[in-house]
Amino acid sequence: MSNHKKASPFSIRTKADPKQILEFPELIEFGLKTEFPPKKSKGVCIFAVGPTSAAAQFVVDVSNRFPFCVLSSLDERIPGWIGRGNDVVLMSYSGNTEKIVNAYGCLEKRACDIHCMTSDGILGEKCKERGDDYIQLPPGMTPRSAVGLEIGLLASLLKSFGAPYLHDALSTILDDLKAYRDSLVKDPSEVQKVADALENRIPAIYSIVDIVAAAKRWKLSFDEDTDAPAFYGEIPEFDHNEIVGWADPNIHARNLEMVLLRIDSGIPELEYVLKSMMEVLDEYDRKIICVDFPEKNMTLAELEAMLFGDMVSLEIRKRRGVQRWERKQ
Amino acid sequence: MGEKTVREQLHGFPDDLRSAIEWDPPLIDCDRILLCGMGGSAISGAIASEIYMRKSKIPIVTVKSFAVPAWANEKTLAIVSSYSGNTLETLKMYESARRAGCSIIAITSGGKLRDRCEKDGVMVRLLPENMQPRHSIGFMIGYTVAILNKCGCVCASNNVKGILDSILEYRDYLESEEGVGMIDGMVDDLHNTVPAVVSNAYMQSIAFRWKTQVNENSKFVAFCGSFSEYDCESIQKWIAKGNDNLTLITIGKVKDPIIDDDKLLRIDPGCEDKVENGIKALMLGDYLSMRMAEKRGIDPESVAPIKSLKKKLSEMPDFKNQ
Repeated sequence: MSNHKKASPFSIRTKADPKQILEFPELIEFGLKTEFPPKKSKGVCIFAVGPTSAAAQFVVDVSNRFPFCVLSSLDERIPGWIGRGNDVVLMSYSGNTEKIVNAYGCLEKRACDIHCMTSDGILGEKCKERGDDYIQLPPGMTPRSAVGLEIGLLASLLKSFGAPYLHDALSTILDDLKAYRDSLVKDPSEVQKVADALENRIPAIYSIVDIVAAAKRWKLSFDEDTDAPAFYGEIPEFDHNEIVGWADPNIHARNLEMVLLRIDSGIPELEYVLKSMMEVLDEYDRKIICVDFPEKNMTLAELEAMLFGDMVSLEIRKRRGVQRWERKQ
Repeated sequence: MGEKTVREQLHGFPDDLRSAIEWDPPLIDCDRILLCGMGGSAISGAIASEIYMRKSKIPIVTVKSFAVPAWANEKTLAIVSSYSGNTLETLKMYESARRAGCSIIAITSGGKLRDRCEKDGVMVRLLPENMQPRHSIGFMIGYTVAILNKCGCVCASNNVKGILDSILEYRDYLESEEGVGMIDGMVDDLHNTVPAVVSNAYMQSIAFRWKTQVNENSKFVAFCGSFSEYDCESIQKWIAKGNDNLTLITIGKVKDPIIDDDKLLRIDPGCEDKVENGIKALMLGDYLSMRMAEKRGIDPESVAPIKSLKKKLSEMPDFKNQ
């Protein structure tokens, strides 16, 4: 199968421009407009590392609504079940990510369908050579900026496999996401407030498991923008172990700040768990920076959280004068 | 029988694993397996699924939420684990798996999960009572591996059986004067720092276990992640600037670039076999976190915030009736 789909007609900025990150909704939209020939899939495995893994995680976050299982992998090892009838998506913006190129090599003997999402590099070359499905990303972006486009393309690809949920969900919320972005640009006071609290600090960002891609995106953006480490985790797993560490004064951990990305999950039990968790941490005098995304639509709230995190980390970057540098992979 | 001390429970880990892995569960025809559990149960599932990752011809998926995925059906086997049998999320996953028509095997010491399974005619594998949930991991891993071995159409339990003697020896080493000295050296390195535990993807479940044991036993904040997500350079730059409250710990064999060994703790038991390397690294983390607690003069068993949270959750209204 050889489908060389180019996303290049889109007016992609060619520099590592923070404004490109703000084009997140438009990039998702562009990805959604890409059509793939329909086919059936028994299961999907997405290989992605670094900034790209936020796009893969976003899809996995909603995958419990799909009719087949969708998993993501952070390294080159191939699960034993991948074979005929399964689809593998290999994602590397540059096409030169070692783990992803290695994974491609390991997959060549499997009878699965391979889809390579890349701008070029070794992965692009190998994919073209073998005639696998080549989903070409436009050159000149940063891997982080490309995440919006990758989310849209993954949604379109999954739709072609018979799982239209994400494509449909994204299509209905893009206008709201654009409006949210515009409101933050017009009035960045909320962004600045959070940046004030996190400047020169180490943020540990938590969210419920259903939107953990947002927490991960915050972490990865902070890594890139602030020249300082950041961490992330998920709730309710937090309540079974991490809460004990955070309840201790940990006076040596003077730079740590706990950030909670709070949404309305629509699950009363989970909301009760969150409320109780915050009460317990309050009893131990642990302060939490809560950032609220009150949208009723969880997919929209997750994307808003990703966008907000980008703006906070870019604001801190601006204040600290950090030069952009690409993470080694 | 009264509850054993943490040290006794850690000592029992290899024996628990050996006894559990001999279990011969029923064969269940399935094309997907879900491992449903939170905390220590989730870690056991993650470790077991990691052992089978490259061999299993069917997907094995861990679930740590309130419901099983929409694709779960009568061809799906759900292994539902909760030491107490009263974990809210796990009980919800059990109900969700029942509604989806999944085959279910529960692993628990009792509680509501056991009651519901008995009422529903669902198979239960009972765990011994009077353990700390997180230290029942030998039984949890062993039983899960035994089920996966039978139902995942592969024979990986021999991999685990083959390392049992070696991990018994390793336990003896960790409890010897030399082993305690080695651990105490690490405890000194980690004193008053935040451990950031980083590993290759295949050791993620072990890195996660380290983090949670430091959280619960030592009462320290800690983090974990994989090399592909974590920016070791950034962490080390931060440390180098005099921000000295982080220590980077790498688990397993490391070929990824690390700037230097300053404030870096490398953990690698040095075994060729990845399962053996992982289990030994797990044991080292367990003993280390206990010694960290002892060094701080605190009780490693006490998890007061979790107890407080569970008390609040026991007062949760019945939302179905609202």
